[in-house]
Amino acid sequence: MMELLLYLDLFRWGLLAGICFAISTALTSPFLILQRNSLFPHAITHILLLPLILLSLVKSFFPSLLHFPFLLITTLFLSYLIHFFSKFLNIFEDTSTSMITYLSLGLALLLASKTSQFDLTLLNYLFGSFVTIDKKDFLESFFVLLFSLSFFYYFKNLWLAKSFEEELPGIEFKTSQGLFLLLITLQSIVGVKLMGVLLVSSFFVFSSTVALKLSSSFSLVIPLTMFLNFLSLLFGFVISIYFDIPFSSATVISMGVYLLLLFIVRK
Amino acid sequence: MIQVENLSFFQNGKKILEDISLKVEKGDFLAIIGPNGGGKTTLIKCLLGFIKPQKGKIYLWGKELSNFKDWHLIGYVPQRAGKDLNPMFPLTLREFLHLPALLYKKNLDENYLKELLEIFGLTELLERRITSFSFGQLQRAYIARALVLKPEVLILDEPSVGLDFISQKNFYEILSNFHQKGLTIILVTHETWLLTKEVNKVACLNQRLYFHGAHEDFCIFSEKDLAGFYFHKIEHTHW
Repeated sequence: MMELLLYLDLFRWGLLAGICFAISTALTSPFLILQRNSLFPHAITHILLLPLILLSLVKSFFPSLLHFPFLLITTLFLSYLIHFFSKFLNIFEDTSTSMITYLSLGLALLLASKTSQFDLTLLNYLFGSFVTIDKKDFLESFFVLLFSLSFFYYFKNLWLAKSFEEELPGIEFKTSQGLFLLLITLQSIVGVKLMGVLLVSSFFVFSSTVALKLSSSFSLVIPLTMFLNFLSLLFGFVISIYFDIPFSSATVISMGVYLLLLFIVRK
Repeated sequence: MIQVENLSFFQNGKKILEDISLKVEKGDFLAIIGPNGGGKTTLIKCLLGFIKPQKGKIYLWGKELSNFKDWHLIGYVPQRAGKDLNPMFPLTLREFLHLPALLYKKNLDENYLKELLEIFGLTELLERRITSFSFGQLQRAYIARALVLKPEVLILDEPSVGLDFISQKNFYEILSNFHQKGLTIILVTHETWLLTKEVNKVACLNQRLYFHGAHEDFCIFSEKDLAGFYFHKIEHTHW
């Protein structure tokens, strides 16, 4: 117990950033699942590896305040390329998503191998690192949470309608959907340091799927997703300390338990 | 109420609608009929502002479509309503019916909602997930939702496809009742034999408007004539 309290103090920024991230993703992930777009954060986080490696190479030239905007702009640019290729080559968006994702990953690994990044930095990006999260990272997560809350407040009905309606007279979905995808990108960026490129998108899938399955009405989905996200964060933290395993894998494994419970409840 | 002037719509160089002009007056029950791919849904999508025609003008309540703001005055039931619903959706009928009020920022008349639920036989289902509904129940839920803000015009795109004969009959009876109470209805269908006697105007569309006039005039035509409407132009206007 004492050990846990000691770790609690040591990892306080990580935990606080994690709580912000868990709440933020709970506000968007159910809509993402309902819109059959659950692989979007997965693609975004894989694309993100290239901007992250680029940033690690050039960050000494930028003030740290500009690091987050740099990641956001380059990730958005690469995401735009998905749309561009899809239109330009007249191919399905999921095909161009795969192509841009693999290209980004390939370029990121090339850059990492040709520089001194092919070690701990790369591992941190791939699997996340709870230890390295500092006050600045927490503040970034907190601001993303504030964005998420305000976007959710203004657009939740539109996101909900878009989940089962293609068109409604006089209702314009373009802006709200654009901001929705921007929000997912922001959330993915702040989540990467915590969970790593490979596992961060788990926060967008597990809890919301279970909440959607178990809730008797949609009004319960968001609070239940929040609770489940928070619980997995907490379990992930405790399990990672007790069994000395990476936080991201411990969290995902605890999320996997939800699926098991869902099977039992359904039976 | 609704006026379409010389509307043309092309997609990928292909002509979908050509030089369509029609008028819908208050209290009309207009049936837009025509073959599959004849442009019926495209015309409705133009009327609702979902797609922009390359030529022509649309006026809603006297205002040009781009300046029209009172969209709550139009209730709309899309083609294949609810067919692609994600089965995971835990949306209850209550939440589903309250959504238009939230989207259009209007107050919902709870007494009217209760009345609608009774008319459509949905009262017992209010707290149930809409994904657990049968196709007929879902169809009725969509129509109830289109009417929940007391619109002046109801637009239905192929609403009775997939319903059995009894359900279709009940459905058209309900529509007739609403029409008698003053609701203007635009019904898109290719099932001409289902046209209720409440329909007072018919528009026959196959890229161009081949017939537009009163229902009585439309009824004069034999099946052979009707087939002709689908393939040849017959000059016949009775607005």
